[in-house]
Amino acid sequence: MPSSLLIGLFAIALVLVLLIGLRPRLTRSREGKILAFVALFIVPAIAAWAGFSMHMDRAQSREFCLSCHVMSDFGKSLYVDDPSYLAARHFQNNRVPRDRACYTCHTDYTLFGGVKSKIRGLRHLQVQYLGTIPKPADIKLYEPYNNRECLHCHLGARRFEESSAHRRDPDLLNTVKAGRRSCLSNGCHDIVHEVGSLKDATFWKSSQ
Amino acid sequence: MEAPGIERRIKWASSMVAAGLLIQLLSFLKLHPLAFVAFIALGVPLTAGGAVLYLISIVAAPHASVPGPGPQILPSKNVG
Ligand code: HEC
Ligand code: HEC
Repeated sequence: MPSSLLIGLFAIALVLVLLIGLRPRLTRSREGKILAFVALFIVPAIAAWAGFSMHMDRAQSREFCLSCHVMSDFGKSLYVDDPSYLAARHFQNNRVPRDRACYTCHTDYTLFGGVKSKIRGLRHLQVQYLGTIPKPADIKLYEPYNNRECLHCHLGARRFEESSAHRRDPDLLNTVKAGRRSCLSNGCHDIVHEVGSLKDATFWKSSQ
Repeated sequence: MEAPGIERRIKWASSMVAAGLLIQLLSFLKLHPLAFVAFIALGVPLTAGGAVLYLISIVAAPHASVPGPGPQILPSKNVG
């Protein structure tokens, strides 16, 4: 839902509820009772639901992820001018949607992945506001990155299945697909954000 | 005519719903996790609380205006 529509919905909801609140006598008539039910129950429920989906949607944006200062180096790492940086390479070549880059790689591609991510987010809030904020380079994922997220896009893709590096060891693809060997293992795709070494990096300037 | 009690409760319910909606609306101004928390922990409970108060007040209201087995039935006893 575009935000102008949402604002309109909230404006209508507020006008209706204020009308009833300031003129409760209206509810003495039958029409007034119906109006009150619409104004105090139906419309607020619709507005809250629309607002909730709007928030969930906005929470997928890169801007949202980077709205806490401690993440800003991860945001910068998407612009590193070096194709060995996995996140940068996906971002700069539009292999992940740019405005949702973080969410695309960092949500769990499971039924409740989005919800689980929000619950993890609550833990981030706790650390951000009630704990000690770590240095960006010291931040670790709560659980090792799951191959499932890479395979969500790459499984079955010819370039993935037939890549010579993946074919060299005949058992490699099986162990990767079974999750017994991480895509990020040493010597494989092990350079992702590397925020500890951003000082020495050069950055790509997007034309848009 | 209804007891003013219900109208007082409807006033309260409206204020809660309005305050909740206002907080929800303001929470869209900032793209930040705390705005989401304000929405979910303040805006939604206030709105929902107001709506529930309203529902309780209409359910608990005296049923004066509801047609039903009122005094009309009683005269049957006096028939004859
Ligand atoms: C191409 C997919 C991809 C994109 C896009 C991406 N990440 Fe990551 N990110 C990863 C992977 C894979 C890891 C795990 C790295 C590891 O375990 O060595 C990771 C790790 C992290 C970590 C843990 C610290 C670390 O370096 O291990 C944080 C925090 C993080 N990412 C934040 C972000 C943010 C914020 C964005 C958006 C600005 C983002 N990521 C975009 C794939 C991605
Ligand atoms: C949102 C989908 C998506 C996710 C998630 C994703 N990728 Fe990709 N990736 C792509 C696309 C699209 C390409 C470009 C097409 C291709 O090369 O197969 C690509 C290309 C690549 C390449 C080829 C090198 C290059 O850039 O030319 C590698 C290596 C790679 N991805 C590794 C990973 C790893 C490791 C993960 C998990 C951390 C991952 N990808 C997660 C979409 C994704």
